[in-house]
Amino acid sequence: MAEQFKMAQPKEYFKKFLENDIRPDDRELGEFRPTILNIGCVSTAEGSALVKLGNTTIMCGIKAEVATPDADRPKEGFVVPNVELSPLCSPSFRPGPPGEQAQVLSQNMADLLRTSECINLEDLNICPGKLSWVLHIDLVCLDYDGNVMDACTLALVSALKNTSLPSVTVDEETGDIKTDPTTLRPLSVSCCPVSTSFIVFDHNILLVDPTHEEEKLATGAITIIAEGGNLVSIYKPGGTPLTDEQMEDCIDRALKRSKEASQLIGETLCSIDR
Amino acid sequence: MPTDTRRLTGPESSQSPYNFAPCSKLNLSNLEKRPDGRSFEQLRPLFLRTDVVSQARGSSYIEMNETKAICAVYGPREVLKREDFSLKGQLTCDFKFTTFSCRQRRQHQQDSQEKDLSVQVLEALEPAVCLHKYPKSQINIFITVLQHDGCALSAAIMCASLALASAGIEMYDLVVASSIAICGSLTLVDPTAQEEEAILKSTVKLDANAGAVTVAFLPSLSQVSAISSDGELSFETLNKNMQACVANCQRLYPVLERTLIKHQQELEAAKT
Repeated sequence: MAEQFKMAQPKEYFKKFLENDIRPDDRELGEFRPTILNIGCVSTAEGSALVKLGNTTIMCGIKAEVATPDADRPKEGFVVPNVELSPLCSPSFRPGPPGEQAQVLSQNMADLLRTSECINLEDLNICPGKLSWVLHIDLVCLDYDGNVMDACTLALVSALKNTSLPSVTVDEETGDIKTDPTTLRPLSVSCCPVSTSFIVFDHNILLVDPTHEEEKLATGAITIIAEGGNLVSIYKPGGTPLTDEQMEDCIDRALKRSKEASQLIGETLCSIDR
Repeated sequence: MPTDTRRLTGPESSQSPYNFAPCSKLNLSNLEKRPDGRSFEQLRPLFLRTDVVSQARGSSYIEMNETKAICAVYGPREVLKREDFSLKGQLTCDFKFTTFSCRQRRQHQQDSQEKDLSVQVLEALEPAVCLHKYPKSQINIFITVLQHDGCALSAAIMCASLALASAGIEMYDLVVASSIAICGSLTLVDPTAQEEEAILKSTVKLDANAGAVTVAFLPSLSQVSAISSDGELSFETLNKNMQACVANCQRLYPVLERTLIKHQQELEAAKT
């Protein structure tokens, strides 16, 4: 009976739960799904991480390559993040070039890296004007069950912190490039931005870490990116307007979450021997 | 190459730093032990799990040491194009390596090797699926290799057949696959990427016998659904190694069986 009710009247079904301040998956309104982090799981990548946020699964792999730097920025390297919402992760995605949502997510990741300044692009230079690192950061969604943004940022930051680069030298006279795969240098990541997403249900109820079903019913969404105790950016793509108190509440919870998440990353990094 | 406007792109050309490193090549001519410590006819441990993708009808994950792949099955769903009408069900397969799965970075678009592997997996599975039970509909299989360390084809076939079974698609049998690499008198069961590469690049003529065989096998029907052989092999060698592959498939079958039973038990437990 419950199944049929949910199919026919998904909104009413949710309302019945929310009247009692609980969500269909037994969570409270402000409760996150269990977060599982596995860092360094792909040895063919220079850095990697797998994040599970409830059912949502994101794998991030970083491949480092070398290239000639831009003529107008001879002392900088490149970071190229891309999010792949493959047809594997949900029946709503079809094979082919990335859709709008994947493009938006990729751009969000690029903005996050740029605005939080967690990577200094000058650190990625090997020889000014001649050779720089290119970090190809690829995020693959393996299970799409809502809140992909938060899972992506968590995977991105964890994989960056796991990245080590082999030492590469350029011969001053001949211009020959030499790689020493035995000496690895960890990439310096100065901060740990964490995003927290909320949706607005029925124009007034705020839900944190939404599942795919909840996202489909949302009337508005907001993502807050914080680092330690500081705010990095707020992304609110239209939808229901929020009041001052609701905004403050969101920011407070995002700041708390960012501390918890960075602690989780730190603990996981300590527990792996790399 | 046309530029990809829907993805963020880096500099026009870049290459792996390991292209400039002294390459450590595996010497096959006097190999006493395999680099990972296995004996020549030893298979890698097989780890399987079903129900890894919550949104899919059926899904599975396979791990053979450093070879890791995930597969999801969707359908049976409606065929969207009207021209593709057929009374028999259609099976489609999409095989993809993630960009970071191999030593050399791969591109986002499906390359020719991936298209070739898609077809090979599809052809190995088709004989096992009761397609006549799904008229006017299609079943989609999506395979993503997360990390490639040899035997991607056999891993993909096993993973996909388990995902199909866990999706409740009617099948005659599970499909088990196994691979052997051959170099002269040397045979390496379940080769790693390093071993595969060494055989592919071996310039020494070794009685014209250098290549690899992959066999897909339906164990309870005792039928072979696909054979793929690369390189140059004499008829006797091919025959002998095919039989060895079939024997290995039979050894792997109980692992798949057990995983499927566990999946069914969990399903029953969830119902009550």
